Amino acid sequence: MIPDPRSQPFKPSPLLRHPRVADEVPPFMNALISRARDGDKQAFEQLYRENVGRVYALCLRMMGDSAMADELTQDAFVRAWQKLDSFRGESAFSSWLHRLTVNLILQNRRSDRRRSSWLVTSDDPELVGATPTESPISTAIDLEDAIRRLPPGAREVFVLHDVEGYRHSEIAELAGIAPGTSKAQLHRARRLLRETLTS
Amino acid sequence: MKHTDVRAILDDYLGGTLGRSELRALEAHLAGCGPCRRELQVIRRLLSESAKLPPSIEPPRDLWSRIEPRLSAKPLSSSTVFHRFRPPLHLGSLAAAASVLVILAVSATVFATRTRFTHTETPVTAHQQFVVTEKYYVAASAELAEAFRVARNELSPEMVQLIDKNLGVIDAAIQEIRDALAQDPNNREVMAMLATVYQKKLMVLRDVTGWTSEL
Repeated sequence: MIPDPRSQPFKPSPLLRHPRVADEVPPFMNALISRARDGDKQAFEQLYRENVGRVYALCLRMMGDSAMADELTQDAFVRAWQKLDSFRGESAFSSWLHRLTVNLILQNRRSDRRRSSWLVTSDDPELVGATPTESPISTAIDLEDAIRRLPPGAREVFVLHDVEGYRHSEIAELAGIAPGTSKAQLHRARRLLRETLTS
Repeated sequence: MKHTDVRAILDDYLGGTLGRSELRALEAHLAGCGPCRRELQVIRRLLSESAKLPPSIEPPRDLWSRIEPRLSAKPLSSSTVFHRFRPPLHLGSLAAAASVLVILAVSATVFATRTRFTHTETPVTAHQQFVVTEKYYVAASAELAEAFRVARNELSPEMVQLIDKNLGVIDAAIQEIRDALAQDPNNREVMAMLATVYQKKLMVLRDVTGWTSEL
């Protein structure tokens, strides 16, 4: 008997990385935010140090390119500084920053063509997986590499849904696409990853 | 249920969004189909591995040294720029710009059509009128230019480059006409021309700050 997945819902991450999950905000973070709002760049630097890894990981996985991730991470923190006054503390700062970064990435994708020419845009699994793996879905490094090589649309939806824990309705709203398109992109991404990682 | 039908709904199955009848049909198929069960296992494994990816990756170099110089002296407060960018508050400066556009349009027409002075009008009066008009332009232009400076990060580099290029062309035209006006301060045609170019610059700035407010 196959277990009903609804009795054991899939959780994207044991680390509660979903941005909607309001994690506990340590008091010192509130103090840092308050000081940064007043123009204290040292306080903002500490917020940067606390959050840069998560922002960079998101940018890297969504963009599939370290140079773009580098640039967008910088842009995300500059924008966060500019918009700090609009942070109301209704969610954790990290969640707010995460959402802001996702918006920035998707806006960037919509508005410009700064896309590396080497990115694979084909559905051909031969092109998607350049390095064969020895065992089915072997290591995190293989998976990171396979995600990086996904076509852009499929990659973004996969990262947002399966890694970051967004729902299709949320992705659709953020990316300006239909929920059905988000589902189709996820299906495509999972298929390509399976084909790559089990080849 | 065919294999292809099953594989098309495995994502929904794992997401727990299948209807009862579809769920029953799928489970019936899976119970008797090894390849589809293996397919399901592989997807589960993929999801499990995805969930284990580290939530944080440190960038290969410290980015703070590049971020810090880009930060303004103080984060923009709701009493300053957000009032200009968020729709209800943004309307203020756009409305002011719209008023100046009307003034410029009227001025351009007046200066262009009344090329000869009447007995009640002296060249000094015409010039003074233009100076007043220009003050409105300078104030509105400065406000919108500041709004655009702040909002540049919201636009793509290519778009910013294009806008800068256009503004550069307009500024060059303004400078050229101002030079001409300096040579002939009471020339109404030159005043009309300058009012028209001022108008164009405000329209560009109004449009680009309008875009960024919508982002």
